Amino acid sequence: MTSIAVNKNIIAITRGLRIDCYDYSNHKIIDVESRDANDSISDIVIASNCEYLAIITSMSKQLIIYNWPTFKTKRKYVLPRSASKIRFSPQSDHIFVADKTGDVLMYDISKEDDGIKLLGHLSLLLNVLQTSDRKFIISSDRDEKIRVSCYPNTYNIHTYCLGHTEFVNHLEFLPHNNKYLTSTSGDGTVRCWDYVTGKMHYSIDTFLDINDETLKDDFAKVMIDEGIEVNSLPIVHYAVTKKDESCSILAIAVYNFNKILVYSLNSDDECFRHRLLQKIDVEQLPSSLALHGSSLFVYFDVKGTVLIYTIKYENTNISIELEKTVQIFVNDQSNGVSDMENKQSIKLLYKRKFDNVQEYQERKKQRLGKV
Amino acid sequence: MELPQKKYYRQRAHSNPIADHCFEYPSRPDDYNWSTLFPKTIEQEQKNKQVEFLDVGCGYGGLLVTLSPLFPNNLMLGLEIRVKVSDYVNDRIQALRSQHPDQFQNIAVLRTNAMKYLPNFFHKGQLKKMFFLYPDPHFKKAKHKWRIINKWLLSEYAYVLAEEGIIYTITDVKDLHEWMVEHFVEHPLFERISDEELKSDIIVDKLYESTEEGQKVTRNNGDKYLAVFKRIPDGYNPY
Ligand SMILES: C[S@@+](CC[C@H](N)C(=O)[O-])C[C@H]1O[C@@H](n2cnc3c(N)ncnc32)[C@H](O)[C@@H]1O
Repeated sequence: MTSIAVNKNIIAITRGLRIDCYDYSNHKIIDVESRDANDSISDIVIASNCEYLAIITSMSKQLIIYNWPTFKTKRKYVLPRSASKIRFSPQSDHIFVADKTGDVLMYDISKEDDGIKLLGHLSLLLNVLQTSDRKFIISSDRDEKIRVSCYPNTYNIHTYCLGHTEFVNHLEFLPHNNKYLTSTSGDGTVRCWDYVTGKMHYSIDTFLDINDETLKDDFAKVMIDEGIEVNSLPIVHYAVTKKDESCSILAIAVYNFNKILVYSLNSDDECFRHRLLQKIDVEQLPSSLALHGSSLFVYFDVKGTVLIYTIKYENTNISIELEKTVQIFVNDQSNGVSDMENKQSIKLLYKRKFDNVQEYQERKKQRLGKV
Repeated sequence: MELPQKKYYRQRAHSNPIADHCFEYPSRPDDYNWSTLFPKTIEQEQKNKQVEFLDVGCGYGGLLVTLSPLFPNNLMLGLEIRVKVSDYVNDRIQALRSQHPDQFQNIAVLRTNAMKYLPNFFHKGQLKKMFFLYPDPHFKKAKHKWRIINKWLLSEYAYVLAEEGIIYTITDVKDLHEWMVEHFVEHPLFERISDEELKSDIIVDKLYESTEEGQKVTRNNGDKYLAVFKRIPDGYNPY
């Protein structure tokens, strides 16, 4: 779930059923219609050709594509099921939908049909991505899996990228070398994969840079009351950008950790290296993150602000400075997403533990004892 | 060690394969300690030996026990979602191994949900044969999504199965038989094997009677519908 999308000209931010598109001088507000009072926009993306903006809504299950910069509605689809994530194809002519029953659907945005189902997992899907050569569709789910399917022959599963130990919520190609896929997870790691072989090449454990056992224990306690056992702080937001031909910048927000971790990730051939560039202090968990060029955008929906940081490269030194603060939804009374709601949504990504095996084994032991 | 008595292991027939259950599973096949299942073979003989036959929803394990002496050089695994039933199969295999040293070392059972976790346990193209014997029919339309054969699961089975690998299905429910045939035939990675070709396959005969469910159908004079498929290469060519 993302509530900010940026390109070179605009920042588009969502709250409730509203989109605020800011072009660095004016705000254009779009209201999405819905009959459902509890409805909200659950994801927003901008096509890489900059011609379209797309959103989905949580309750009314709309997928709306707007022309940019006119903001006229180009297409409106009603999805069969509630979706987690939408993505444009590299050519911006199709849109992929990852839904909560495990399906990946594809809509040709030049058509007004019901789309087609490309593949299905038996798990809640969290993300989907197409490779730039269009040969593969990559999808990730709540059951720790990243699946790489051939395209258009999606019935053929090419490989899996396996290793995460919790849900896999973000997928991005490594910006400076799109032969590699990066992913983030509830297990607190970012992993780097060769998606053709399924081999993991690198992993960054964010907890090594958080290093706060109390924070982890507190989260574990809250979750255990829900019947969920956790051993790590989950990554919630993730954004990437290219620095140069051998280096990318990653920005990461971890649940309940009031700092944004910014890393550089270098690769020469198959040799990876990462460096923590900065921990940016923030007042609370942001609602979303985005990176574009050398700008980092941090959105707080409750306060209606977007902080824009600039990443400065001087020789080998990289620094990150707050450039400006943008107020959004200025005269809007609607509320942002509360901590409570954040907790509810993260909870759904974990599996509840109920151990019916142990109980059975104990009864069996008693039975055998009696004989 | 005595063979287990089935009466202690009976369990309600259907468990929801889509809901969360509590399973232990490795995040990747190589993370699993296979020597716990096949101690003699893997520890003492061949370290890298892998499971090649998979009985999906093995129930009380009759097929494994029948095939064990026929394919002494292949490791075979039964997957069963129900706690007590899989425990029965495990106790049965342990007892057989203790009564017949050096035999039944190539069969084992694992409790898991085969509809969700196959890629956690098996590499691409690792399996040579898969068995779906008398799978749960889930008659109601609303429960069809629980069926262990569907278009999307077939892609996952095709992934773990080697090219030329074989999937055996048998059922006493005509409607389910037609459903399975339809899905396999429509899937570009499978092809039905003709009855003529099956005549030379010694396994086919064993599919009717070796499992508990098959015996039950015989007792009730039920019909048996067999269908066998081959994993074929992907014919899709982008050029
Ligand atoms: C009708 S029984 C047939 C058992 C056995 N094949 C036989 O012929 O006697 C179907 C079995 O599949 C098991 N099963 C159903 N869904 C399963 C799943 N998703 N993973 C593993 N086992 C499953 C059931 O628990 C049940 O024991």
